[in-house]
Amino acid sequence: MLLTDEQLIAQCGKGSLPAFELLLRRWDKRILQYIYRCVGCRDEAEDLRQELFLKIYQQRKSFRPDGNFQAWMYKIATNLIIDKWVRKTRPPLVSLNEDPAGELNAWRWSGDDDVRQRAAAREIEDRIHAALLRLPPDERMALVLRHFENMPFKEIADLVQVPESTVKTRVYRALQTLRDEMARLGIAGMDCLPGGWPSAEVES
Amino acid sequence: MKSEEREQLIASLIYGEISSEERRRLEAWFLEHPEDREEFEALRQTARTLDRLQPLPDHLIPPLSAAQLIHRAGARMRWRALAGMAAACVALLVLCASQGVMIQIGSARVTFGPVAASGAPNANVREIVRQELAAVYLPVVEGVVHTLEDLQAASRMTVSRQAALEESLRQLATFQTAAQRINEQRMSQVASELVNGIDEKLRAVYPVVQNAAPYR
Repeated sequence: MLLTDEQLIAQCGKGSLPAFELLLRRWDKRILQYIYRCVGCRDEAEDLRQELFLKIYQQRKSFRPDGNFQAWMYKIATNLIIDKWVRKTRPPLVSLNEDPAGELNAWRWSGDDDVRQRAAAREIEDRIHAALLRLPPDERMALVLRHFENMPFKEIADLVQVPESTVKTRVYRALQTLRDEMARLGIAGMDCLPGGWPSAEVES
Repeated sequence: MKSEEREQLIASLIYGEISSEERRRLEAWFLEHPEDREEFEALRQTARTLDRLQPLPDHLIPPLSAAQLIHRAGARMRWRALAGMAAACVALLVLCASQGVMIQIGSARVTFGPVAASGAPNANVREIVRQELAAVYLPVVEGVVHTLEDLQAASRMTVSRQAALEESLRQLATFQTAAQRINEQRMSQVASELVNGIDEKLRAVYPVVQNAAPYR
């Protein structure tokens, strides 16, 4: 029987390194997706993910036995994003130049027609992602948590400590802004996109 | 229905978090306001479009290691401690450079900043230095003063004792001289008495010697 996150963090609080390792493996990729959606830069997202797990490790003893680990972790992550990213007011732009390893560029311009088509689709996707990142931080976080993390409005409200009605309004306005932005970019929908990132096989 | 309530209900409907009663109210509203239904459809389409945004592929996400993370946490804490100390030193230097500082150890004095430039410490610094010196050195100085006073008292005592000794010696010398004189006089007297006694005896003996028969 699998140990729950709460049991693992409790063991971690007693000094179990394997418990922390397990917890980390369980969550590191998913939480990185959340941070990446919010900040739009992979390197920055990886730094914040590392910062997050450092904080979790440092605060492991302060986790209440009756608490919800996922909510606790998302709260720390959200506070980190607000403190270290949103308040810096960095330009939320996604650029091909942000791919230091060149993995995506190599894949996009590899000469294959299908790959070129996928690259074009990825360009549109990047623009939508950039539009997402241009949203006001409050609206962006509410939308990312509701849409991509599938978190109920009530939980988001608890997480960011605002009324549930405010979260709903933020999500509504975020969708409205994105709709206008997509119309401005001439993107009626994403049906043209084949979707998917390069697989490890394609890259190799 | 107020616009904010309408927006909240539409958001709830898009994400399926709407009660049956709220849904009925919204449907009724849409019947009267078809433009709001169009708005709802457009936003739902936007949300579907967002569904097509791909997450980062797993193979592009470097895994984290708990051991490395904990090692980094320790290193970071050490670096933070060092950085804190360095920041404190810099702050102290800046404070010294802007306000001036004077360090005095014994008679040696070193000054920095405005204190050195103006040749005299400003009032604040002077007061701080005075208080520092008073706190640190005053007890020492007081101790030294007491010691000096003790030494002076001891010295005074020694001088008086020396004078007494000298007086004693002088008196002794006088006594010796007097005794010598007395002795000399006495000796002279004794000698003369002796000589006189011998002379008297010789005079008494002489006629006997004169009248005696010659030795044969």
